[in-house]
Amino acid sequence: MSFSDHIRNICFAVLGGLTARHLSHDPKIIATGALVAVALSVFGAGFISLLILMFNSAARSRGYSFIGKAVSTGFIMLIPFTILAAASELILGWRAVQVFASAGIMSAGAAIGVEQAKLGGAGLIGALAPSIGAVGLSITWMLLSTLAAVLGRS
Amino acid sequence: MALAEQTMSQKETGSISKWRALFLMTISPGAVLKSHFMKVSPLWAFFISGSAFAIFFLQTGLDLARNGKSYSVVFALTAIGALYGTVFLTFLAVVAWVLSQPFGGAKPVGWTIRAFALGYSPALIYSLIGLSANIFLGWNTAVTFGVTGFLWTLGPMIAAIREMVEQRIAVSVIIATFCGGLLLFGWSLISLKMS
Repeated sequence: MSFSDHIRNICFAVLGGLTARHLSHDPKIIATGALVAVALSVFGAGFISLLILMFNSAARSRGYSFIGKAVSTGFIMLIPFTILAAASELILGWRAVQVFASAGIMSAGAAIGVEQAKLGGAGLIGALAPSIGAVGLSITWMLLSTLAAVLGRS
Repeated sequence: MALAEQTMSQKETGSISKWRALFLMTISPGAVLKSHFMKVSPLWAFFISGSAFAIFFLQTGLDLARNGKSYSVVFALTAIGALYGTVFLTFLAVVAWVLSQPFGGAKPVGWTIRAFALGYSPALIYSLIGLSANIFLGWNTAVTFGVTGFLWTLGPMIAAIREMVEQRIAVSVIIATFCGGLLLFGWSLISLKMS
């Protein structure tokens, strides 16, 4: 796992912890939210890498390590959204982490697309694959957050 | 987004019309920033950013008026938004330009101001959608559409800063976070004072 992968996981952990904080200020709940988010981060990065592997022949010929590097580099774009989400939640008292997380994931998907373009060889579907993966990851995030909120109320 | 960038990098890019710049900044800011977008009038660029903030602050004013505040707040906030989207944005772009100088400083300050202002193209579109929901559906849209609209501008801002620092990702992330923070806290300060 590269340094960028650790950065990605930390970002997801922070966003997950902030989301869990809406349910309870219990450290165990916040830690659980952070861990679930990290699991989603690893799954999401793997899913996007798989999509690129499937639909980008040039990237496929260069091997998984190049694809992994493009995905890791793209997810660095999550950092500003994570820091601003933390600032808005902890300093401004807003309940807006979901919006920051979704926007951050979508921006990361776009950035991965740019990095993938440098590898070349993507047709229309291949070019859209990172953004499609990011949409899927963003929807999964929203669904998990909603599920957590429902479970927290019951 | 990546396909648009590939297409534009593969052929010679000429000057870009103002409407095309607005549309493309929404879906592929990197492609616009690599084109000859300096031919887009600075007035048009400021019209985009000024309108985006004016409409966004207008929504804040309408939400406050719906909760009992005087309608004079609506006009005041709209005017403040227009100033925020022009004067403060220029200040922000200059700050980003200054911060980029030790890291290559690849672009002139005029480029930076245009890029930052044009970066509000997605925010303008989102603000218009939010305003429609506010007026016709009676929703309180300032936070929901405002925060999302603000976040849509971070992508073009990061793309602009990456061009300014010769694609140094870590530096662009730091500068973008700082600039985004200034925008966020400035906006919350104004909302707080007026509410």
